Amino acid sequence: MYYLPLIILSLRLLTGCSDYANHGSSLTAWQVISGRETPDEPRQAIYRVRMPSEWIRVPDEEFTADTTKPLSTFVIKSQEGDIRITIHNFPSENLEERIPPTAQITRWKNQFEILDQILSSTEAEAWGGFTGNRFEGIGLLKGERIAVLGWAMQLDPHHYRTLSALRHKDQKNQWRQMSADFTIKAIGTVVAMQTHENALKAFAASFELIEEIPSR
Amino acid sequence: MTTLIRHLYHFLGGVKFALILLTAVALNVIAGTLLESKTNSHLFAAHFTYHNPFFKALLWGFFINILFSAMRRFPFKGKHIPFLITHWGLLMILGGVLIKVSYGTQGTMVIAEGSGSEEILLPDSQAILIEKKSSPEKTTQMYIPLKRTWKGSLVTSLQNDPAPLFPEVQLHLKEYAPHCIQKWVTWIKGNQAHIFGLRPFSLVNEESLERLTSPLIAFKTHDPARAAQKIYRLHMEETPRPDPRIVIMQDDSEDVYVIAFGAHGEASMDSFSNKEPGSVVMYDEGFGGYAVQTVIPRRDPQDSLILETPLTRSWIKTEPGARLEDNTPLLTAEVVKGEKTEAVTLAYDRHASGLKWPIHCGEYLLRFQPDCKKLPYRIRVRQARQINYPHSNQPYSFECDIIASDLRSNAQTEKTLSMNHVHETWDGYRFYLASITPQDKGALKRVQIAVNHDPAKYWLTYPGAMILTLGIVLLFWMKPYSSR
Repeated sequence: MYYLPLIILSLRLLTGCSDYANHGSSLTAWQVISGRETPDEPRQAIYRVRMPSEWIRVPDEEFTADTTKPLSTFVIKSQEGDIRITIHNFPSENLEERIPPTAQITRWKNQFEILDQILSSTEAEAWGGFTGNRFEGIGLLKGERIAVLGWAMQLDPHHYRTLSALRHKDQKNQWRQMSADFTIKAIGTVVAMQTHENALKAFAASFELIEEIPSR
Repeated sequence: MTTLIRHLYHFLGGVKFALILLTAVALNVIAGTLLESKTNSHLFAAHFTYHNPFFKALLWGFFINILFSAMRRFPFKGKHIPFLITHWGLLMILGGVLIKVSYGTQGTMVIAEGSGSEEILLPDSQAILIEKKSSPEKTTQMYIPLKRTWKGSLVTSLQNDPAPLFPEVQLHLKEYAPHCIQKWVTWIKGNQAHIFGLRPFSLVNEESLERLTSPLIAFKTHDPARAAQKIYRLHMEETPRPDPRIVIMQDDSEDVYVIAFGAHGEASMDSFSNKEPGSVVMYDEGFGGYAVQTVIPRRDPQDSLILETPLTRSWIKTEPGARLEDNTPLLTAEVVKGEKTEAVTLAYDRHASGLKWPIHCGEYLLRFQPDCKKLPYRIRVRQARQINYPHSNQPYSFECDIIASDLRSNAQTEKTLSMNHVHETWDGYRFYLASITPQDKGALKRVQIAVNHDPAKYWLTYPGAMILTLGIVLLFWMKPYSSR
């Protein structure tokens, strides 16, 4: 019987190390975000994102054809100050019409009255078929010291061409919305933004198209 | 006869046969190692060793040897228990290996971030992909695997397919070369230059050019830089003033340069390599053919001139290299539809990511590539990333976030693949992260995922290993053959 531990150890070694349990993090439920409507077609579910349960989703506006209006708005209530997160998309007719992500970043920088250049940075990012930049900026805005964390992303040209080829078929607006550039911008007090920085980055990293991009 | 059978039975279950098998396997493995190190080609070594039918016969030899050696102990006694358990475990393991060799799945899928796939490319396989438009919105694809007969010739399975997807089409292989060099042909084809919308025009002799008499000039040259300078000088010497013209040059390596000279001395150049087509214009998703284009800028950018030429290929058959993985086979096939027969030449597309070529007036597209197999799972890639050591560009880990969807139950699993974390499904499909390219943080990544499926793993191989271990332990514990 004193061989029994040896047998058990041998059996454990033989069973290997891989498993198919889901090691994914315990994320919150998906929030569906609709694209912009056209005169012929209403808003359709285009994106999804994981939102922490303590965040608040502001009811979406009914008419969002104007690209200055956000697709969706989220608010984080915190003792250090509220953080407002807005998501926009910018549909385009062709590759050349698209605004480079760096232009979006420059626009955000110019919104500051005084931007702290040392504490601000821009980094390249890519996920879900989109490529672009992440901007982190701290400075004075309307006399108040605030922080901005934003992503300006656009579909990789390879995927854009794939979706453009589908625009001549049915569900035109869906393909057009899927190929649109998007921005995610969070703005709040410096302390609040630092406290929720990881949650904001996880939120942005979870933002994706509901439908996968067809491959050619 | 009975004596012969009895002798054969005891031989097959005896130590001598086991030693012969072990020696044969050892020699086979040594040969495989030496061949691979000499040729730097695993495929070359595998053809002669691991993938060879002789190796499979050796496995069957082991199975028979172990089975007969156990049966020879009949009638069984108590002291045979450890021996029988050990042999039973060995038989289960070997059975699992034989089933995996015959019915297992191994392949790779390449997926861009944001996209998904349920097909894997089978290694060391060849097939012809035929694609047809089944409706304006949809195309249908069919893979025709190519097999080698015992004589060594290559045939399709189409003739034996009782219900082909495209019954109106017949495919016959006419020529096959084990290796070729493929070149992309653009503006200059043979001795003529081609521009869409214009008649092809002949090449001129660059050496004898003293005056430019035409707005379109094409020639072959040994020194494109010197030729461009000469043309520019002749262009600017024109009186009363230069006429705008397009010059197309091909150098000795068959790269092509398109230069546009303006009336005021401005010049713009575009180059087209014969190794890579670069940016390609696709008509009707390939059914209408392909072209390359160059944009001639003008003062008003909206007034730019766009020139296009059909994109074609040429091939040079060469001797295959020892490293089989680097060879590009070439085949010519005849596609018969009704009374029309059309021949098409195709170079092997190892990654099945290149262009498909139209035939029969663009009714079908063809590509010569590895065979594909559909999985019961669809993998969608969300993000792939390289994680570096802090404050360093040295990679620490590679990760890939995926969603694995079981197509039978619609169940979805989110998983992060990385170096020591594979995704394994309940029915034994394993997904490994093989590579990520490019590794730039801000670029669209393409992920190569290796897929492996052993259908006998959980009910034969692993239980067999456990039983074998139990048998070995019992051999030492029970000491059935020691003198008491």
